[in-house]
Amino acid sequence: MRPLAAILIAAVTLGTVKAYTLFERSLPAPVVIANALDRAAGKFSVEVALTFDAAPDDFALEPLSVLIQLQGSELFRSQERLPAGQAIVLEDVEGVVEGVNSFFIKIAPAESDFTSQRAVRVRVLRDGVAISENTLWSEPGAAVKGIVKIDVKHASAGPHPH
Amino acid sequence: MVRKSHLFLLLAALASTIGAASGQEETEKKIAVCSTTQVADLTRQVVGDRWEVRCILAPGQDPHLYEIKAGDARIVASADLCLENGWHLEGKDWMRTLATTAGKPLVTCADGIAPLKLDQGDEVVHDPHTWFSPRNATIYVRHIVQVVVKIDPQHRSEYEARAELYVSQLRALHTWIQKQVSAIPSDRRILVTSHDAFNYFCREYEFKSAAPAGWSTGDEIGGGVTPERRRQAVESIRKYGVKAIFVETSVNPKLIRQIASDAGVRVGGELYSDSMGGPGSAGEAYIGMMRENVLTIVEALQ
Repeated sequence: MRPLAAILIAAVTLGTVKAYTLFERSLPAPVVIANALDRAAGKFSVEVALTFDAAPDDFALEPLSVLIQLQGSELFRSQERLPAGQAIVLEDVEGVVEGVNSFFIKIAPAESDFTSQRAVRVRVLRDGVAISENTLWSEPGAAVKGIVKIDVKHASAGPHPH
Repeated sequence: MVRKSHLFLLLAALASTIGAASGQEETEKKIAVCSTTQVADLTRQVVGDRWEVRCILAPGQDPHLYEIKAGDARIVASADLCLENGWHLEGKDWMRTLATTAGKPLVTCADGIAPLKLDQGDEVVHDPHTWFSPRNATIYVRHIVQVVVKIDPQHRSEYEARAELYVSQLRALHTWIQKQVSAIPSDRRILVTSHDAFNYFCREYEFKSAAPAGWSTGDEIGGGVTPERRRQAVESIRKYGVKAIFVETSVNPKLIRQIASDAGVRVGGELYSDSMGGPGSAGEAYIGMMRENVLTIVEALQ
């Protein structure tokens, strides 16, 4: 009788530990809330000027021609072919905060010629005034891909583009 | 005392059984069974060590001529997912037969690729050798990511991260190939191989192709060697002054050697075609296979 009781107690103990472990793992991951940042005052817009034909990227998981994100949130995407010279203008961009803002920009060229490097001109405007102008270059044959960082100060302090 | 030691052993056995069962639950891998070595390698690039990837074909085996073996059904029975190249690369659709018989989900990696249509009289056949363009290999990767994420959504970000990195390597491979083949003058870009496997490579990198055997080494419509094709291959070699022709790793080299002798041209080397290389060879992975092929072609034709 005693051995049986010992086995039973051991099984119940181990089972409880295992059940607790499984339960703990099944709990959703804690949500980490980033430090709240102050939204910057003013109307922001982004202009991307193409110097080459853009087309859906054949070497990407999603065949996009254009992808623009702000702090990881999508602002614009396209799977269309876009001609050289066309400007992509995003008005009233939401989510610009006081402090550093990172715009991720990816534009895929229609031709993947290994000899050519491509460029796009990126302007960020606040209330119609350019606060940042950058040129992003590609590796030969690759898509133009890069991050434009701007440091947006409190409205009275004025912008400080990087 | 004896009783106590028995009790201890019993408890130890019980604890180890429970431990082993829980450990198995945590480490049990899902299994993907692939038809060809190329599909298996591309799948490995996406799933990493998270899945076990098994391949029906061994390196060097010809998918057109393969016949189902007794052990294949057992391998497929263990699968969570089956993947094939498709478009009848697997002669008489042997992978489809295996997956359907076992009731397993099957993904056709060539689906969605712009096909090269081979006119075979009454029938039009889609050339199944799609992987020879890295652009098309990206489409294989997209299919693979989609399906593994569906089966194992918990590790989605991991699969997508691997796939993102891999397709960027495919882009680098593509631009590298463009650069390498630019060393071959355009009038010398004629690729003569054992069978018609390199049409997608030729379309991508502006080569002309010629082969004594059709799109399949088997007896499907448009496949196999005909005297007419053999004659045309020899004529093309003479007409265009081809510098070298190539044997393939998965096809008997005898015919190409005879043609080389008839046309008075040298054999430029061996290309990986319908199957990749064995473990330890440069062609054991897709990117290595493509790199070795390109180096062989450029060295022989430039």
